[in-house]
Amino acid sequence: MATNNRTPEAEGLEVVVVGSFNPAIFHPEWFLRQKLAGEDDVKEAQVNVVGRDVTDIEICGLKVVCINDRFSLATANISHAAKMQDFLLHIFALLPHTPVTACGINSFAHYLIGDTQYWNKIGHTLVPKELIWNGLLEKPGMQSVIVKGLRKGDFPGEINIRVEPSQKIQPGLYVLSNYHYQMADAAIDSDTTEMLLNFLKAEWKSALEKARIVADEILLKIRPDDGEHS
Amino acid sequence: MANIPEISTCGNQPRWINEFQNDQRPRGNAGTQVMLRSLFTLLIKEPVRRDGMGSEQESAVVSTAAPTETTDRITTSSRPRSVIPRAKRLNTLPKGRYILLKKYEGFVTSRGEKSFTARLSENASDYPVLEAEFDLEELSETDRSLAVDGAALVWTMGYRYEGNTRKRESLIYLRRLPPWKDAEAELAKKAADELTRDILWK
Repeated sequence: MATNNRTPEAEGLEVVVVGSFNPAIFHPEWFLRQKLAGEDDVKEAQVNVVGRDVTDIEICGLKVVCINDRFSLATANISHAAKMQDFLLHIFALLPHTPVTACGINSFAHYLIGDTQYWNKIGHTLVPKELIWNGLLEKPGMQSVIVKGLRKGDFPGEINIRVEPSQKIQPGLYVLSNYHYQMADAAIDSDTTEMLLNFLKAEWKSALEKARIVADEILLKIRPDDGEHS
Repeated sequence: MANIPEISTCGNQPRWINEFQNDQRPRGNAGTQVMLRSLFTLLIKEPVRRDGMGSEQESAVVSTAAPTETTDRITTSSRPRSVIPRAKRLNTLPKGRYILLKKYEGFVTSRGEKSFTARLSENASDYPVLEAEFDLEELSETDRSLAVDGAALVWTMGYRYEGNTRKRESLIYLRRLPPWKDAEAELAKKAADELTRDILWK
């Protein structure tokens, strides 16, 4: 019997900020000086690249990647989500004049489906093959579905949901939620970091839960046939 | 393929080549989901010795901020060097897998010499909330000084994977939130006043 509100087999989070950045400053020592990391964290930090054009480090369980027009902070360990928010709020509070044009909070989760028949049923229900695909392709299968919706409220924008077969858990389901926030053109010259900080505070919790909520809904509405085990 | 800005090749400048796998970006979206699960290949025109092209030189060029013997060679014209593009692959997601079983958020209510007490809840609406006492030793050395009255903390339990080994893990850390601004404090005070006024005491 299928159960709802399952626990994901893997879960992670990434925040991408689009703007104009100086990758060279994101060195572990900078995080230490700003009291975002301790001395032990810095000793254990993994530095792949720190340079004028690109930075790629891992510190405090978070991966920091920065190129000139893009900054991202990511973790494959969702227990570090609150730490990631602290990092983001501190970083952009410390760099208040950074021009920012967009931000996305991306949460993702992998679920074990267990039964291949049920797994196929999810794909067939999300992308029916009868009308078009069966006549065009041999054994058509769903590889990726992206559904875009609008987000209202103080920080209007898009919510992009992507559903795919999991590459990590097999047979499994992968759900990604992207809370996209585009700064209005009129706001580009104003205090965009302040807007970014407010967006990160206001939408954080909702963005974090979205992938789980979508997966729960899919697994609730699409049930295994009798005799199948989910 | 997703359209990611490309940094032009110029002298010793790096150049990004797109190799997005299964990571299409919807049209019209500025691409804030584009870094997720995406792989970048960074081509670096790297000066190397003809007689030695070891990986040490490669990492020295791209991973050190301070001038090194290798980086010095980039600006030295006295001895011409071969410039060979090297591809370095960057992944924006760290490796690893974690299954979250429980997550509590709360704040420190009191601190003793060897322990501290915190009030915790899974959701903001939970009632009654959980009150727990922790040894200070549960915190990392750097976090211990942060465990003062009112400090926000997170307590998670889950399974962490190291290769094929699954470990049960309990993680406690203090949050490092930026200090409140005057306007934020004022807003919070206003909200608390409104809430207090709306409660119908009996």
